[in-house]
Amino acid sequence: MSHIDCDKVLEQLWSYLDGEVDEAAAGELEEHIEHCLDCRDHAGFERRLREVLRQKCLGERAPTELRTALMRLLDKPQQ
Amino acid sequence: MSREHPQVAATGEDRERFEALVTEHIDRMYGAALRLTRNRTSAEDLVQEAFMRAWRSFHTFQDGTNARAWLYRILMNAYIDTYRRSKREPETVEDDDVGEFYLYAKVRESDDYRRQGDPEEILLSQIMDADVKTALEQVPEPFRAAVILADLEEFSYKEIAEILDIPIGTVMSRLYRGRRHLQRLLWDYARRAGYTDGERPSAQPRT
Repeated sequence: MSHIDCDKVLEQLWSYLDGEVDEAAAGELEEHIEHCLDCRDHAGFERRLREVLRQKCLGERAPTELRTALMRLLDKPQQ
Repeated sequence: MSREHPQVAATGEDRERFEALVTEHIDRMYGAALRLTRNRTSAEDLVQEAFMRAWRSFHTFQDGTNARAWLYRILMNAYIDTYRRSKREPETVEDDDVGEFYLYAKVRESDDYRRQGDPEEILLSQIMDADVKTALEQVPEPFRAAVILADLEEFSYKEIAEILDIPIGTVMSRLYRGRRHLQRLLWDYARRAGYTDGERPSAQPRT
């Protein structure tokens, strides 16, 4: 079994949370994070922070006038 | 079969398929445009321009390819053409090289927060109260675009590289830089939100 240390985890934490490390590395990171209190805490914080960002910044609705204007433009002959 | 003569005028069927794309993606794209342009009128103009460009090149769009990434690529090109003075902006805006995990480090080293049971949760709830949109909108370009595409729109590094037409390494450096910047802004906003609740973070000491 290979073990990685906390520094190595932090180095890759964002890539890992972005789903951008390969399967083997992800497995190692996951195992470390699961068993290391500090890293688990830290990873949990970064995850929650993203959730908060999404909660606060998503969910806009395009104005009806924009949809109407767009549909009208689509009906115009092109070129 | 219907793609045999891609250069002919759009058919009713094309129009219907395109309209379905508009309906599916317009809200999210408008949201991204708002965070990019920081202004409702500009966001509307940008989304309209993007969809008009998309419609004009719809005959080149292949069914089964990633429609969302295709649309965002057009959106970002329209944004860059209109709102960025040049594609080649210097990537050194200011010296903002704080550590990778600024917020977590800050809350950990803060005695004020540590005195109150669960410091990270307290900080996160202050962030909930803070003006997160404004903080995000203050992240300078081109780093803001990378954060929007990754953290809000959840595109992969590879998709973002294609959308922005930059190498993956550049995606990562812009994204990480943008996140560091955002975390620093969020710390200020969260602290301010915490104070305006009438409570300094140190107001409720625990044993």
